Amino acid sequence: MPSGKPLKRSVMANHYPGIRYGALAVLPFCITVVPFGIAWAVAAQAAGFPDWMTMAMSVFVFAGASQFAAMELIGAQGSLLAIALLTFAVNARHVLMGTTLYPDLRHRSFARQCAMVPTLTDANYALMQTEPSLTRRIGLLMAGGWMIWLAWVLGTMIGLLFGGVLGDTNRFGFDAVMPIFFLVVLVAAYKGRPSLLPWTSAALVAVAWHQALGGYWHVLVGAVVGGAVNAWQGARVDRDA
Amino acid sequence: MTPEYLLAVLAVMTAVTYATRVSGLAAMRFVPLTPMVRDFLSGMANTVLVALVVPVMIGGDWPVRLGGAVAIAVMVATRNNLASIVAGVATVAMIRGVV
Repeated sequence: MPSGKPLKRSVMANHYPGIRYGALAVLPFCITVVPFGIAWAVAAQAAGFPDWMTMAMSVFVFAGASQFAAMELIGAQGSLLAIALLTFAVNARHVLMGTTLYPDLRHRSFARQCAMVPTLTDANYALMQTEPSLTRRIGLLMAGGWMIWLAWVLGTMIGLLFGGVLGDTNRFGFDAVMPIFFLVVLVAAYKGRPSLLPWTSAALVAVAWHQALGGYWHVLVGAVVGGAVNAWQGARVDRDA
Repeated sequence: MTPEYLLAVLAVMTAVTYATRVSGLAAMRFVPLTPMVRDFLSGMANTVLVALVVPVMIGGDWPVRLGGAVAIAVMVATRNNLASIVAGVATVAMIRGVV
């Protein structure tokens, strides 16, 4: 911002100075969210979903993995209870992510916390893990999430309108973006010896659970075991800004 | 798939998903932030990504695995997020384009 000239800043920018940073930092990743949204719209159309439902799910549910996962069950007129359980299982990782956000958000009212997390996603959460500034982490959570939401809704719209022309977007490797992104974030977050035991135990437990039982709970179980090992190890990683 | 059914599904999935996003914060209001709890949370902040991505890589096709390996290598060498992701995804796209 140029100094000297008083710039009128919005209320939002005053309360959340990391907003602009968060919105810009996720932009490169938004480019990969759009094709994922396209893929969702194409798949939902093929499954016989009316377009309004495909769009409404992106707008309101805003959790791609669970939307894909529930698609078949919805097509088969599955019970609401079964759909609720599946949705919870796929999105249970958010519960853990939410608990880890608490130290950052603890000074804010619960109502405000509730208003900050509707756009908590894997992508902005992952970016927060390597961001040392609390202000910027908040910006990533909020504005970063809003941009990802926009990209997701935009991708869904493009897919509904032009999906048939684009064909299979996976041939461009877009399905690999999120896992590769997580790997890269993990490399950045790796702290050597203190990370070794918690990460290895999380990986082993998650893989073993996934191989034995399939489904989605392995993320929850592996993550909790890894966190517990970290607590037991007492390796204090100070990320307070 | 009647509109009534779909609207009910939409409401249920929206409610459950939002609940997952907010319930971690809600629960932590009742847990004192002792050093041990902090260690648990800071560890889990990373292990949730580990538990998410490792089974995907192991279960994935070999272009995805190779792309992941390339991304890790580029990240270790350059510490550049975006370059590493682009390199990894480009690897996947190239192999799929060739094969």
